[in-house]
Amino acid sequence: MNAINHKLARFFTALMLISLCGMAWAAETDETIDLDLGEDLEFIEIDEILDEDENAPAETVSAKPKAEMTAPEEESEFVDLNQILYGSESPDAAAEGTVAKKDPATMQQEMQQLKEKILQVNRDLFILEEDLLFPSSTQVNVFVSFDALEYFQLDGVTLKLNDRPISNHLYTERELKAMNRGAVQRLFTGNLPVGEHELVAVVTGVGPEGRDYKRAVSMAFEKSSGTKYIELKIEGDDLRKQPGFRLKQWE
Amino acid sequence: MQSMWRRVQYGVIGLALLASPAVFAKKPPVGDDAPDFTLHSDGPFNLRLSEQRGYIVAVVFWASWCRSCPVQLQALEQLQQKYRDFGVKVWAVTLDKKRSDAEHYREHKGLDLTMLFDDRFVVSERYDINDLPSSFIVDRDGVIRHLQDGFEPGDVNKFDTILQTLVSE
Repeated sequence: MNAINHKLARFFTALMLISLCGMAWAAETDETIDLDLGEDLEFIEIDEILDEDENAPAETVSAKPKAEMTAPEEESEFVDLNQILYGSESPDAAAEGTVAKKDPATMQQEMQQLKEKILQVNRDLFILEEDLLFPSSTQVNVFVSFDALEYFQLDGVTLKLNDRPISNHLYTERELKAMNRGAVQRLFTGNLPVGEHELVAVVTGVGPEGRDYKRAVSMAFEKSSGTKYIELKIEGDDLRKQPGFRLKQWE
Repeated sequence: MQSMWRRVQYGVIGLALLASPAVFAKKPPVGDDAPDFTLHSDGPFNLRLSEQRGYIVAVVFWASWCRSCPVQLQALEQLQQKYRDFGVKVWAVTLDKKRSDAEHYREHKGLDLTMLFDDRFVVSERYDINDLPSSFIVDRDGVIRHLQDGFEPGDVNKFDTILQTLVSE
């Protein structure tokens, strides 16, 4: 429970930092946001309208549709703003026209592009979160590989780093099958300062002849700047018909 | 002076209780994804809730020393037999410290339920279990659809209706 709360606190801190960075970046850049209102909508500069006839008498500009403002038989002197801005009598009619003109194939394509963008953003956010929470200079990863199904049924692995429990994982049938087919599990990712450390892995399971098995293996290592990768290898020993456990550093 | 000291002691105990994680554990609401967990089972493999997608899982927390638990356990066993072919599973999570107590109890009552062992109370704390028996039902997508503390004999029909609804979805 404390480990989960700790991780949650770090995750939300990372999210806050990301949002603050985004806001600061947006404040620095002076770019306008382009609203994609469709190709059929035309924007007409107000200056163009005013320059058309400088000698024309002052006209009252109204946002209401023409029909509501003047009697139908009279020649209207009012300028319809919607006509100018949207090219039609009302923005809704323009929007409907825009939607109606897009075919399903185009919309499908745009949806697909949007989904790809969302996935890309999601991936970038995940990478950023990992970099923020686990910088490569202090990151340490512990992996587990298993290739001893004939002699050992893995039940669980407990990791201790410098005498402090950091991970406790129980394996299900699905995970065991995947690992026996060659999958390598990333059991733990964390941060460590530079210096000497000790990792202890306690492995429990059912050994040969159906007896409960519990073994511990430890390794002292030096953490330098850069990501550290450590693998707990569980292999079958064909000579002794027993499982073997060892911790190995990846170079 | 003594009463003052006693008040201080009670205050310290109260603060210590407030600092414990169990105080901050809240029951997950209906409609949320069920918090995942992995526990030892009475079978050859451990069981994980998130690997049961596609199945309807009814989880009941119980203990061998709980007098009102047999009613719900037997009721759920009958419902499991009724809906087994429709992908309904019942998990009985025992809070007994000793596994043998739970196994003897099951043999004595003749129960045919999948048993899971939460002897460290990790899962029961996460689900904020304060009464026994307590139960919840998870649908095929891993969403909690029903939560209940305690069990009355008349609740069998309620569980039957809920499972019927989930099976027909």
